[in-house]
Amino acid sequence: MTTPDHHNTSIDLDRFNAVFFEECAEHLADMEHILVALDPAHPDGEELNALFRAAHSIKGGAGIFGFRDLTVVTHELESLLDKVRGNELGLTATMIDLFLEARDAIAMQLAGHRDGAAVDQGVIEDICRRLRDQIETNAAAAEASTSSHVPSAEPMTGFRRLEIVFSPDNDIFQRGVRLENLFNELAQLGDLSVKAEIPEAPPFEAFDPEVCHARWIFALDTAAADEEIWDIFEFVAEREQLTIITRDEQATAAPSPAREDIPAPASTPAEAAIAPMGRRAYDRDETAPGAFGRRGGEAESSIRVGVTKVDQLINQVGELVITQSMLSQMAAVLDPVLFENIHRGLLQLERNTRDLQQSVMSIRLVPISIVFSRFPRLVRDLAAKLGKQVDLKTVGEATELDKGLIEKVADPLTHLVRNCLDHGLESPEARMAAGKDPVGTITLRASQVGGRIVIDVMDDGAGLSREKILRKAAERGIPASDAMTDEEVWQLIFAPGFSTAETVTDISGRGVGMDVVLRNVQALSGRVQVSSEPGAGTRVTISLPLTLAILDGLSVAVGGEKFIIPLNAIIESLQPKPEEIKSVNGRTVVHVRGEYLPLLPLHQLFNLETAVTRAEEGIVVLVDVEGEKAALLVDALLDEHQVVIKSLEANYRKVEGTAGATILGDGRVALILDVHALLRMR
Amino acid sequence: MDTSERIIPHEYLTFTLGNEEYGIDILKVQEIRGYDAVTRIANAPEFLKGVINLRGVIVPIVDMRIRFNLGTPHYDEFTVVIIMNVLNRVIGMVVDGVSDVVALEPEQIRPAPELGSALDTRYLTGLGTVNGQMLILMDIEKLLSSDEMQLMDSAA
Amino acid sequence: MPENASANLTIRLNGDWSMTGVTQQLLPLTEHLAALSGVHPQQAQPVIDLTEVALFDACGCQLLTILLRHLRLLGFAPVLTNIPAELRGSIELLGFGHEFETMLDIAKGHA
Repeated sequence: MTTPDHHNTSIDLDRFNAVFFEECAEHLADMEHILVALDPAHPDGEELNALFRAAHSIKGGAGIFGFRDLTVVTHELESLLDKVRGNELGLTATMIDLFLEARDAIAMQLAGHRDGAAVDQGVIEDICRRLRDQIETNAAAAEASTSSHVPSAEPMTGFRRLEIVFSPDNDIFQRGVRLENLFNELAQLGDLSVKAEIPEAPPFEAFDPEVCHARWIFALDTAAADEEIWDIFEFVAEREQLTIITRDEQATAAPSPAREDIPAPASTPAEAAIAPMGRRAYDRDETAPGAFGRRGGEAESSIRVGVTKVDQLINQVGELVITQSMLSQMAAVLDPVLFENIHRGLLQLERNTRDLQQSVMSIRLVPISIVFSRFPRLVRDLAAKLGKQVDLKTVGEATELDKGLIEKVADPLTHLVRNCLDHGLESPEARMAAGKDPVGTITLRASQVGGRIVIDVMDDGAGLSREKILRKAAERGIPASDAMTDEEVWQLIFAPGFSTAETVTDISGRGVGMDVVLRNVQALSGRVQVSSEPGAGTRVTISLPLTLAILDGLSVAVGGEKFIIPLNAIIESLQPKPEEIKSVNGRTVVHVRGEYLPLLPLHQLFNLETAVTRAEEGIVVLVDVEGEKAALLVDALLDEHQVVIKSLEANYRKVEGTAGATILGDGRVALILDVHALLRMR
Repeated sequence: MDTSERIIPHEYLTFTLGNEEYGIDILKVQEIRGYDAVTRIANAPEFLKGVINLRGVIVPIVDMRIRFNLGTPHYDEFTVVIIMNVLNRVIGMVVDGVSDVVALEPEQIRPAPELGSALDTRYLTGLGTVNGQMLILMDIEKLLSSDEMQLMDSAA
Repeated sequence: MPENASANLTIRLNGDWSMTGVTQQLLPLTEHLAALSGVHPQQAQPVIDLTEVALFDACGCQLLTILLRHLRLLGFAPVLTNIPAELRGSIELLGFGHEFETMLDIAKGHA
């Protein structure tokens, strides 16, 4: 056993390892997904195969990339799965639990390599032992009960001298494949000698050292079956890239009794080129995403690109949009007849730019199923722990949102789901006593509503208790009164330090709950809303922008400055008549269609000098943020834009009442208003 | 590594604020540009003139003349902004004019006395002398990151 | 510098000769080759010293092979020297031993 030297090179190999880690995480997610849904009584053969493939892929990749410890658990897992999918062992609920634990152990090892997290070796050893025990005890049982199964061992093959020719893709180096490890594995099968050949190479001046021009010829004395050799090369060689030829049959081991297993009669030892053994059945869809950097179908269907590259692209397109709108502005003064061609060209440019921008933005969009898929497991484990029965429903998993948002919305959602289980849903007994189905339901629903993504986390539990919340608020010194509407009362649970749990549990933490959820979501320009009905359940709704990078807005002028008001907050704009302006309790309100909306003069909020100080002299923009309405007083309306959101914090700091800034067509900076925060500023 | 630091003299960009001549480490300077219209920021201190668009990046502009009461600030075609790269941030500073780049040997720099400059000695690295003229060397990193400049969200 | 009276022209290789660093080796190699351009192959023998090579993989093996072939093409008879033990192990494992064997000035590794 040769120790891989990856500790020497780990820093340089980071970028290759990152791909492996990512794919490994995907496989683990797949495994979890399948395991949670698996019915031990009627396991689906395809699913078992998929599980096996996932474990097998992780093991293979770990070997190639030099993470030996990762291969240990996966090997045991794979062995047991192989028996199960081959119907040699029956699947049991205990096994599913064990598989899930093994998955977690592998995830722990992965985190150890990726993030330097601690790895509990005791857990690893325990898992391996229990996986082996499963095979042994069950195999013994199976043997005792029936002898109909053919022993699973490979047919005995005698020692043979093989000649293996390996002609890899010329990008094999770039893919980060560590040939040393591969060859070491091969050396485990017998006595190996390796010869590299560079049949043809470009002249030194034109030589690209990252391109592989070599092929390898191995002489291997082994008792191993061709399949085992195929397995080693599984992730690096296509069918036509590996040939295995039997050079000599040495009958040093048992004389090969099972020749019929090999299709081609290999009786002329020297020349009989046994064509590459057929790949196993489970290999057939290995060109699907998930195989390690294999060429073929995958290469055409998707590529992996670093997020920073995508962001760079988005920034550059953003600049292009600004330049384009600058040109349009400049050309606006040109005579439309004399300069018809320029106008037409600019119009085309605008369309093209917009299309380009949309295409580029969509690169970052990913389906929310990435987050939703983690919940079946969470719910399953927590429900068992809490003695509750829960059915989890997910709706709208294909809804797409920005990758950056997905990562950040996962934690708040997890917290909300935990809350549903811990505080929302009642025990089965309590549910039955209330005449409800003992099995509670938690629903996760995502949908795109206008320019926003709305995610509902719902339970059909007992609902929020008005009395309990008010009492708790009083205990905690949070201002509250009986006169509050239900909605205002529900809002109290977002106050820092508030917790409605009668006892602090390890499920939902100790009251660091909803305020953190609210803060996290607000940091994403999102909003959180709660509605609840006694006995019927609670719904928490998170609404998020589709992307963090682009916003449709209306530009308005206030005292020589321009501001952007997000379009999705605007109901309408109007020039109020003097009689529509009223004063209520010393505050100015605008009377529109029977509603009195508070007037927020932007020049006051932003300390700007302007001639327009009275509502009837300017224009009011009516805004609505989650049911809360107001009228923003501005000097004039300018234009509608799609603006690229720029951070003020990168070089400066957060500015109250704004959600960032953008660059307008004239090259100047305009602040983007955060209407929700403005309503809090008055 | 340390020795080269001692042998190679530091270069400073010198500029005027009111009647005083200042210098900052040239390595902190990204570029020098004219003063453009800025976008004002509400409720910010007076010396924060606002933000500008620097090739797609939003950059805050501070006027040290206001901050340290150095002369009457006026803005014309000769007003200059020094764009600096400090603590991974890009920040612009309005000055009355940029004079020169000078190299100072360590022995040409003395510690700053308690009095004698509009700037707190905390934000000075020392006083230099060039051609008989006094040069006040700013510790621009310390100054811009100080709480009183209010340029960064406080950690709390 | 290289064209001193000595018949040996030492080319010192160093650093990362693995996938992650081979492209950085091209420039120094081109410089070494430029230094050889005025030298008559009969008058000098390039000695390639691997003492300071830190990382070496199949990619490095390939580049070294190409370099040696190029030198031989120019009429030189290069030799390799001071191969660290672990490098020798990699070279054998990766099957490049036969490429370098005849150029080793010291005892060769086992076949």
